[in-house]
Amino acid sequence: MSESRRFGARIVPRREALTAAIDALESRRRAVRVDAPLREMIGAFNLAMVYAWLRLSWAAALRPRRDPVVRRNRYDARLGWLFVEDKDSPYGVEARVIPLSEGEGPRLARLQDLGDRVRYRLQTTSHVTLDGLSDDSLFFVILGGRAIPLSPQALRSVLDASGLADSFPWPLNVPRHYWITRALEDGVRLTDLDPFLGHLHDPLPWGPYAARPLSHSASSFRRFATTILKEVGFL
Amino acid sequence: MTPHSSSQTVMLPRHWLARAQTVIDATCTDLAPADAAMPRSAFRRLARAVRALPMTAVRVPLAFPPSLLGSLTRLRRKTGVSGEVWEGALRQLFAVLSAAGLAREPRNVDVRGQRRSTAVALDPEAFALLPQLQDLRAQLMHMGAPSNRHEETAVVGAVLGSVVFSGITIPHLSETLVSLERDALEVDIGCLTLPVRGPASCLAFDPPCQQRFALHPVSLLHWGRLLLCRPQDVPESSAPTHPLLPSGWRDPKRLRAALRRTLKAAGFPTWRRFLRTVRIEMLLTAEAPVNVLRRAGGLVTAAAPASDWHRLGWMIADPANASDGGRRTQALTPLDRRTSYDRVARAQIGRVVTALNSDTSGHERSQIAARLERLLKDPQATGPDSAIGRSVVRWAIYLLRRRRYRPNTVRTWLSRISRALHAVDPISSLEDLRDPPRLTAFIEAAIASSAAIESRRAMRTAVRQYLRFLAAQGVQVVAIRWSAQRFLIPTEGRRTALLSPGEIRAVVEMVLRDRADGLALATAILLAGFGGLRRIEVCRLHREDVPRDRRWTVCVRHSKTAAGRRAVALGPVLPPWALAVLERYAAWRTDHCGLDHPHWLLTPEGVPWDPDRLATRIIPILRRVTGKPATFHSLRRAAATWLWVQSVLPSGLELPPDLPNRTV
Amino acid sequence: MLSANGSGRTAVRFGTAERVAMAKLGLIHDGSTAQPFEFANIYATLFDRPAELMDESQLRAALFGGLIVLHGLDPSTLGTLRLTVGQPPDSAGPSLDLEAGTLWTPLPSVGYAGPLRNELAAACRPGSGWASVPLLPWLRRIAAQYQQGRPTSRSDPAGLVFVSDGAGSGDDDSPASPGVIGTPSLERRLARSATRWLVHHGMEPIFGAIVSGKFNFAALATSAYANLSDAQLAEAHARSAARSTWRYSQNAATRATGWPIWKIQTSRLAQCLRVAALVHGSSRGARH
Repeated sequence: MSESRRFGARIVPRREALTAAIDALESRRRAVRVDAPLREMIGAFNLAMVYAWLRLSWAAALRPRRDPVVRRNRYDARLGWLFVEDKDSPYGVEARVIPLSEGEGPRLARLQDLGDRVRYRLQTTSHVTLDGLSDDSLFFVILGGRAIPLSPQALRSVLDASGLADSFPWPLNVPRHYWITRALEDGVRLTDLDPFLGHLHDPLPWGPYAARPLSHSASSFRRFATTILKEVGFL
Repeated sequence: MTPHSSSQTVMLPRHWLARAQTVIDATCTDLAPADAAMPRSAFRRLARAVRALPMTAVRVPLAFPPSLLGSLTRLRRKTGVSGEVWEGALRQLFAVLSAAGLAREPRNVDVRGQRRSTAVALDPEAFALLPQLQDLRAQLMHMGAPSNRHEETAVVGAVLGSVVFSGITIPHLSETLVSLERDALEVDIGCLTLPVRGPASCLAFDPPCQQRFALHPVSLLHWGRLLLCRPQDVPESSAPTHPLLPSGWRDPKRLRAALRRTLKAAGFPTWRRFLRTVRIEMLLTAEAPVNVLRRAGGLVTAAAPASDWHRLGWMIADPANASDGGRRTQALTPLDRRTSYDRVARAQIGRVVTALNSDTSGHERSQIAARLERLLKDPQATGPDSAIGRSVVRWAIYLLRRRRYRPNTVRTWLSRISRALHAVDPISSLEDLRDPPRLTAFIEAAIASSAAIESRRAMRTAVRQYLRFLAAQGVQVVAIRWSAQRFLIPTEGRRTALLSPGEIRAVVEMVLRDRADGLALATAILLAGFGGLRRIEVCRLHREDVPRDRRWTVCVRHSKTAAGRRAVALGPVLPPWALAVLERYAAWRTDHCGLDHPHWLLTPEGVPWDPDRLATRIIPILRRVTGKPATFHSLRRAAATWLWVQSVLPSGLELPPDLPNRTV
Repeated sequence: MLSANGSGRTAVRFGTAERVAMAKLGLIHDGSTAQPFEFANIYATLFDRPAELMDESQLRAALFGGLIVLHGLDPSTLGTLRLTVGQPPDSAGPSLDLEAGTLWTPLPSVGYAGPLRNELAAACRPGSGWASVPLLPWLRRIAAQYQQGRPTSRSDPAGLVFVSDGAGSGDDDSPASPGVIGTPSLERRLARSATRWLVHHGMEPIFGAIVSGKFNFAALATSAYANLSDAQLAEAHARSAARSTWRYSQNAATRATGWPIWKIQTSRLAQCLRVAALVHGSSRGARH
């Protein structure tokens, strides 16, 4: 990229800083052994959840929500799609589907399986309370003796506890900033990406008279998602 | 005011709020601060709304009116709370207040869903059932041996197969199928014709539109399996109707119950949820949203699906090749009298041809078809005697009932086949269709009986369609190689009559000079020569179709085909002199709006132009001025040619030197 | 043309349903969008000679018209376009640096308006609330020529780019340069259509919004996230403007004589436009 003047959004991460942060996160990760001592398991599990959430947010440019939008029955690993209702307004919610790049769907399925095993362990052999956790929660962490859905605040707490707070100075919606900036740089059409990012306006790709299958823009989205994941260091 | 616990009392709003606050505080004391935040937030919002109530006293327990509830159910954006969390908080709040006797729990606090217009409703519960749909699909794929003829399995398999594999997600599919006739399912080409009422249908009146849906091969197999289950039908002539489903399944309740059982076992709570899941899966795989909408009955289209023309079932091998196993044995009628195309059939077909014109409505066509059918079936009526005659009448009924065939097409084909069978060396019986030399000779003679090339083409098409119909009815027809030299119609020697803009101008100037009705004729010539309108379109223009806007837009509403309905902007394409002529006529027409006729183009006498009369007046002038064998349609060809030349000009291409300059 | 129907509801203006449907379908050939022939009609007026041969009023007209048809700037924006050298102060509106040939557009402030923490700023790309849009090369030459001959007003030395000569005094019906393109409504029509055609010819809507200074809801959302460079914007703009102009000049030349049209490169824009305009102008005499 030539040395020209830059303008626009000020919170678009530099690639070097991103890869350094993801490397730091990867280095802290360790395998989650459900039969390990409780404290060790909780620490590993929390970090695994945070890693998975961050990875998914970079793979799908999700908006970070207080109430996690990705739940057990809101993704299809076989078809590779995510179902999200995240943009709230006084007039309703906006639902959309998001294509998942290859491998992300099975990854979520494995995460779900891990979460089930951890839940069972917590219910049967610990005093950790799970009453704040609904049955369909996919992303959850254990903080202060309670299992709670993974909210942005909880995520920050886990990063703090792992000493990674300084590595992630950006707001949690920074993947969206990065996605759109890189898409414009790489010449990826925003008309293919915008509907899956939640920027919904006519003509909708799933509007009544849309004659183009979603698979076309979905494949463009998936390819770009893979590019982004590679750039930031998840792949 | 003293509150009573069991009866309704009245109190001031502030007293009610004070009591409610106490209750909420007591409840939240037992909760962790994080969990208590949401109910407190919800209560604060409720308090604001109660304070804003216009009444000076409230009845306890307080029943929330829609206006109060509406403001509560609207989400709060600033806290970033999702809909589900907010709903949960509201329910909790109302439950607590209801338990304390202060409020009635409302029935519904659902946050309103999205309002965007989409082809497929994005329902999270339906999305969650995608794995179950995959299992159901796998189950339907392995449908068991063909020898398993259990009727319920076959019926349910056929219906669910149409949904799961073919994607036909019309909500009242079961009610539609129970009343469907057998001929709605065209097994040979894999199509199912269903009556559909689309919300945007251009046919706003009864009956509903007939839409054809291509069936997936697996779905077709299910239907075939169902047909095999049925006992052999009585011959067509004696049964009044021939329903698609077996006799015990024509009760929609029974069918619905069976489907419900199967779907519940597969994990789908309701039929609607099942349909939504199928639509979502179609959206996420390879289907365009407009196609999903069409298959859900939400969009009615005029064009038939492309699968109409695939895999023609009538290509049967030459009967001389005895080892061929694809031979069909069902004849059209058991008796095959060796008489030629008889006068009765010819007369009946003649009446149909006369009755049909471009204004014939669908209802009239159905009436004509019903009349023909009565003649065929009623033994007292004087119907056609010969098998050939009866087959032609059946074909006429088939064409009349299919809306996709325009009246002009039906007329042309019937008149051509009638002529071929009567005037030409005719085939005397249906058995002749199995004789290759005989059939070939017949087709050659039929084509040769016409002089003009277009007529020959029309004859060839008519014969081909007729033979295709016969084969679909089970008549043995020899396979004809239509690309053979003997059936080809040469295109050489066709004289073109491309009119140049200068010639069109000369014609316009001549009619303006010499004719009393010249202004109307000139207008018609300009509409056709620069706007590309057909004769019928010019004559059927109404006053409101020509609004005289800045672009001189002309709306063509009455056209030969549905696709011909369009708006033509003449402003950009008309030279100034042509525009002046149109303006003159438009001014004349406005001055004579007392002429009480909705049509725009009128004769000086104030009657609308007949298309044939218009052509009769213009063609001689065209030919005299240009010296070319032009017709009225030549004007449309000229318009299309010059518009194409103007708009499509790849860089570096020179215009051919013999094309005259358009700008005049 | 209004027509009443039997339901008693107010009739919709003719063409409204079609325009709304076309907008929903993403089509551009509705009645509210100027078509290429309308642009072609004014090309001969604006682009009929090189910048060096234009006098002051012609330069002003060419710059004014060029900013409308090539950038999509609204005439009302042009009427308040101020001169600047480098980035304007925060309180200023859209500004034009004639010497550098750069148009400065303020970006809408959507989130994160305050200063960033040091550690966050260090980990992010630099951004700014001002977009610098390089003018197309031909317009840049016009601007440079215009700057040399532009009169300065004593009362406002920093001044507006298009100084009114008193004939138009900011009234909506009196453009800063009256009679350049036509009526004010035509200028507005061309301005909004220019953006649509730029987007139609491959420019991202966010780029079109920045170049024209008009942010609709869709562009607003994207502008909150995008960090761009002026080189990136200039390249996208030039590519799309070249396609648009090629189409307009093709339309003009084809209508006139049917001459073949050269593939237009941005650097040869002026030459080809001038030839096309001369062709268009020479055919006028033959038509009347």
